[in-house]
Amino acid sequence: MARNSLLEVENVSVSFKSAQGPIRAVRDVSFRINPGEIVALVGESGSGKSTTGLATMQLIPSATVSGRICLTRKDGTKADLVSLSESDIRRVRGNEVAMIFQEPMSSLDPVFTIGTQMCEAARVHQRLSYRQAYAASIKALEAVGMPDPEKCMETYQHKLSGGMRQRVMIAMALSSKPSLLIADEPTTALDVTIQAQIVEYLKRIQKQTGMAILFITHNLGLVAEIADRAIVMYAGEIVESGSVSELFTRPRMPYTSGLLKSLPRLGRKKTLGTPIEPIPGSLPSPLALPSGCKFHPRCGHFVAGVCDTAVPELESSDQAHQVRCARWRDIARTAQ
Amino acid sequence: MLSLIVRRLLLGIPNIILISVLLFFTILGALGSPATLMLGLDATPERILELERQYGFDRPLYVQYIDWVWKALNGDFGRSYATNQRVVDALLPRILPSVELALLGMIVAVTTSVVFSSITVGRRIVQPVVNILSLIGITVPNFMLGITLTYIFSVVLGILPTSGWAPWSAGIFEHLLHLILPVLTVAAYYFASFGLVYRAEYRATSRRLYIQVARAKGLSESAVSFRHILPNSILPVITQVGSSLGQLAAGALVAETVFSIPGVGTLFTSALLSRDFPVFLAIGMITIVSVVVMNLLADLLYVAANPQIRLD
Repeated sequence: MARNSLLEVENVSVSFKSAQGPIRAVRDVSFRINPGEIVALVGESGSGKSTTGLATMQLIPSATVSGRICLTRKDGTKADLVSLSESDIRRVRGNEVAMIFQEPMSSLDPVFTIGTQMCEAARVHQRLSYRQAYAASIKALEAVGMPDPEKCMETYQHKLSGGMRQRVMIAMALSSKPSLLIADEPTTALDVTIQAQIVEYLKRIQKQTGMAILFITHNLGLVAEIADRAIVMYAGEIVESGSVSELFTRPRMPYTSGLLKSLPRLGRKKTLGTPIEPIPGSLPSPLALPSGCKFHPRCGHFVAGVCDTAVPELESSDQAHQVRCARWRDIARTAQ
Repeated sequence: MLSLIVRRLLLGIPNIILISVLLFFTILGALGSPATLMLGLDATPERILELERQYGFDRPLYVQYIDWVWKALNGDFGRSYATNQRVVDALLPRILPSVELALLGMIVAVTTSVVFSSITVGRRIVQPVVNILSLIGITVPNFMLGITLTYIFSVVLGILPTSGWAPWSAGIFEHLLHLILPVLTVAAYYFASFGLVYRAEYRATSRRLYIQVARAKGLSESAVSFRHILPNSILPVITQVGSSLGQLAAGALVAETVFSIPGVGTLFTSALLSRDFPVFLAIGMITIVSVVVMNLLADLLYVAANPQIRLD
């Protein structure tokens, strides 16, 4: 890679202690994000995508994170977030890497006004007077399309709708001009019309600021809408990654094609002749993972002795297209 | 806000009336004729009847109650049977020491329990110490704690006075010096019980998403703890302070007795021993009123602390 990437995640595993033994929620995940790029992290609930996002921020105190998460900082130096001390990682959080969460309804502190919380965020990493922070917060709220920013600053979260709260969260996350925004299912809890607005604002702000976004979602429609590149996770592992156009037109991993086929699309029946095909079964428990390819019990291309013996490697099927499937060549040939 | 205060005050009035009725009837009903008590068991029936007529004990209880309430409302709680002093004169000078002891005890209990449970720096060392102190506060009886503290600080170390009360006129330093041990004795139990309630709430609050958001902003652990978890966990403690303070203001019986503080509590003990019922009726009423008022104050604080309640 000639270009200097912003975030390099290398062989990251996250495990939790449990009464039944360690739960390895994320296993050997590697990917990189370039400056200004929007990367989608796709998967079902429980696939480890949110855990990966939280691990990047070092926000899971109960978990053990191994591997390297290398961030190119604003001053050009590189830092491994996994090995940073608590006080150093604090200078990264909110400052260089910001995060917004799935539940805007419970993301804001009920005791303080929006203004107090926004100014707090603005002043954590920047030397601002309260007045300067207030002015900056008003500007940030305007940037996310908040109708009456002054009034919003004085109100408490319970008077705002979910969409408004998520706008506040975005404005707050942007206050220190981070180079990477981790958006963990930011629109899942919102109405569809509001989802579209939020995605629009995220795209617009991304263009204006040039920051990178790691967009965590289970919604493939949104991936097509917002992302340049997508990483598909299944049962704690990356199973496929590539540019969004590649993945959507030539998915190599049966799980990705399964996801695409289970996506409802207007007029699909008439034009494509294929109805929605749900993926049978459900995500395996992290305590009882199947041998070999983790997807084989649900896979239509399963061949005994091939898929259930060795864990397939993540290999390049194409330039910048990676797939983890023992049979992807066979499947690709028959598809043609 | 104002209508809320008025509504709560109005709700308090029937409360006070109801409890005062209960208090009056149970005390007079249980004690029997006060005349017998005053004259002793071997008094002649004629003498008892005479006294009953003199004090009005021969009237029906409800008439006596109304009469008592009417006089009480006019600031007349009758005279002490034991000393013949006016109850008001016996009571008034004792209110300030009790209130002071109660307030200081509460302030110490609330700040120490909340601060020590919120500290994140050196948690490994602080937390076990807090747990042990809580255990002591809850299990060791107040009188024993008072006596032990006196033994350690006054007898062995000799740095604090054993007991007694120094009025403000004796100088602030002297005044506070005499208050240290009684305040610690009062605070110990509440430190423990507030701490238990607070820590349970603290744990629940720290799992909320907005706490993770606060961390994601880059706030330090202690900023997260004191600025975000604390204000969101303090409400149940406020409720407890309200009811405890009301009771304490009417005298911390044990602490006042152990340290011979001239408060409402010691007056209550002596009134109880001499069955001086005008005195303990009056103290009973003060307790009720202060509990009601303190609960009201706690409710108002609640509203101030949680903006969401402000709506209803």
